[in-house]
Amino acid sequence: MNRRAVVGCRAFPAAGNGLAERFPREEQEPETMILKALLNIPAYRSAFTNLVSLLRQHRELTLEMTKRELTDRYAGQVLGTLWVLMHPLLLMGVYVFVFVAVMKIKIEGEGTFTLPRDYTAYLLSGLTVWLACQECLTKSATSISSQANLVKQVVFPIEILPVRSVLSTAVTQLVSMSFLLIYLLIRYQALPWTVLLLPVLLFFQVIQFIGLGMMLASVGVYLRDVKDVVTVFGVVNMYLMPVIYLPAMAPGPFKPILYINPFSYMIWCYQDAWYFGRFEHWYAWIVYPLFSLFMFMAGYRVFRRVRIFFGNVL
Amino acid sequence: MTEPDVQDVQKDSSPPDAAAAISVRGLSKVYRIYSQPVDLIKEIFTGRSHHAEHWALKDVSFEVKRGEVVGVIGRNGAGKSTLLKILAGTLDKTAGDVDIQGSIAAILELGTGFHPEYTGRENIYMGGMCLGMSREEIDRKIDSIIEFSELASVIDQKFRTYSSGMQARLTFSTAVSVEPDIFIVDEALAAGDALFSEKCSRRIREIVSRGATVFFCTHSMGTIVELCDTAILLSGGELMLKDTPREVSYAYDRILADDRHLQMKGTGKPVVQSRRQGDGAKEQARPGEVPADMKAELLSYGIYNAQGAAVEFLAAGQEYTVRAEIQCYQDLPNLGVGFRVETLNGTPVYGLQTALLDVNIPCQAGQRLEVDFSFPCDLQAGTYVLGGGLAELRAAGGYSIIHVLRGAQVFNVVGRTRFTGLADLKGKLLSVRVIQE
Repeated sequence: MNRRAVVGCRAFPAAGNGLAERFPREEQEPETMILKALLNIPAYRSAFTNLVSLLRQHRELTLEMTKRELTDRYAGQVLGTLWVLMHPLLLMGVYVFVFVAVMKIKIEGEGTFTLPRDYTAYLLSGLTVWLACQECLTKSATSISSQANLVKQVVFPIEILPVRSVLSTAVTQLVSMSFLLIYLLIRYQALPWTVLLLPVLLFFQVIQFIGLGMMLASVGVYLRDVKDVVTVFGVVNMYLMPVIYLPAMAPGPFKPILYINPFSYMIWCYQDAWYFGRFEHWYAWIVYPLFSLFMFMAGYRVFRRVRIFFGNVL
Repeated sequence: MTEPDVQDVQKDSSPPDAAAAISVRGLSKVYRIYSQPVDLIKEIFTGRSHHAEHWALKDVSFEVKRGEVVGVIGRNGAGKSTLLKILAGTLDKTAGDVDIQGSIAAILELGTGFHPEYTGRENIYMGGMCLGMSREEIDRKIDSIIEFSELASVIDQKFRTYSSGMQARLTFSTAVSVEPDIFIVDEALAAGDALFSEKCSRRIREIVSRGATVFFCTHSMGTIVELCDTAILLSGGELMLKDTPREVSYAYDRILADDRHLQMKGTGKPVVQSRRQGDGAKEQARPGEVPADMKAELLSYGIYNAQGAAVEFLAAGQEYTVRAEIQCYQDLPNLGVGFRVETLNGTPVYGLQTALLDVNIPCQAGQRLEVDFSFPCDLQAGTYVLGGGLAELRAAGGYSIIHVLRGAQVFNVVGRTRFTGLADLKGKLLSVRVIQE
């Protein structure tokens, strides 16, 4: 019983109790409040340590829930978990069919900009990432609102709900990336050394989307529209990034969009690793990790701020 | 702008001894009700209020000691579930302090984490983990969970193939296998058939005997009387009474009676009287409050022995008198008077009405009547509730109810009885014959 007491306390702190009085309503101009919150460095640090220790504590539950999310989706179906492989394969196949076989898009390098591999490899190196991100955004936007009973009816660490959405889509991404790997091996019998950096990129992607997912999930509880906004964004944003085309192919006035879009940097990093085999977009390798880290902390800050109010709306 | 630090909220893991497990001071909860989601956005941007407020809890304070079993009772909307959720930490509070010492498990709903497409065994794992158990812990307990649920033969079949009773049994068995310091339960006790519910109450008692603090809410007064050390009565979000289950059961019955009375009268505020304050017929008469359309009022109902003394403990098989005291406010050609005896669960045991006896009771305004019924107490030993009512009988047949007093008195039947069931129907052994050697 003593053991249980210790484990129990650590496992499920009576979160929420004592939270409300910690935010006295401040009478301040909204702009200064937002600015203050944005520049509140200690809050970022505490968010980081909080979330990391939380995930460490609940890693068993998180992994189990992730596994469940993957199997839940296909439970009771004839092909079952085979869909985990089929789904990305079919999607990738359709894109390759449309852009490579039907539209016959060709890409060329100019000057020092040499293109080491074919268009299919270029397309897939960005597509494998964004397809997973798309799925991840929609899933995490509903990760809390679809689990009202876990939020309201049991003492449960709901932080892991967006996390498991991210982790489960990371698995899909691994599957689709292994198809890309197979393609490269068959086509070129060799891989660029930069693929060794993929785990690092994947790590930053996961933490970025954990943050993003937490933010979307929190807002999604209050505004159910978020799910639709995010779905549309997922489709539209693919064309606002250099996934299908090269940045050089975008018409001049629209080029800034590619550089403003924070997700472009993630795509460039992946393209460097899969396709170019060199640090073609060196700035992306700085922006992407920093942005990921920022999202991770900022996302959790939003989440822990509003989590206790979820019960009111669900 | 300060933010909550989840780390800070974690309680010291060493449970303090003898201290209060739960202490609540001045707890209030306001629900903001937005008629449309857009109103929330409007409010954020304009700063003007676009919501209606609903006070689910108003200034509730109490303490629960370690190892105490506390039941919360109240009508629908009294704030029971809100209170439990705030204690469990799944809902924020508007004002007040909640201090909880020890690990909590809450069952506010059965079957959280269960998925119809998985087998019973797989569901025990997921459901158990959702309740805060670790995998090894479930490994250790799974045999006893399956045994408790009596589902060993079907445990590896899909959950959706189970009947609803079987599903309830499995979810309950999983839920009660958690061993927290503080156990919060919301009306989840009535799962499965009678035999299984009996096992459930036994299991709850077992959890209690291990020293856990149990806090639960229910509508069934019987459960409270049976299991709790202390009961809390909530009404309209306010804590009305914290006392022994018996006192609270009495007050609860009065709330029900008063609310029914109000529904008839249509005005006023419910008056809650504990047995202590409300003892004696004269005090219960409230002539000042009676509205003009009230035709007559039942002032009290009581049980008296042969010596004419009011009794609460009745000897099985003895003869008693049930006496109603009635105040008439209008002339009535035919007043009907009746009483009813129920078990604590509300099962009617016996009732008698003047209308059924074809007796006419005319009365005049201002009269006070005393009506005596004989009451042979041929009941099984146990606790019963006495109630009664007044009706106006129409000459053409039919009647309209004037006043109902439910739970006018709780009484106990004691002594040895020589039958099973609730009432003695005076069956006799006639003969014993050998019909085949």
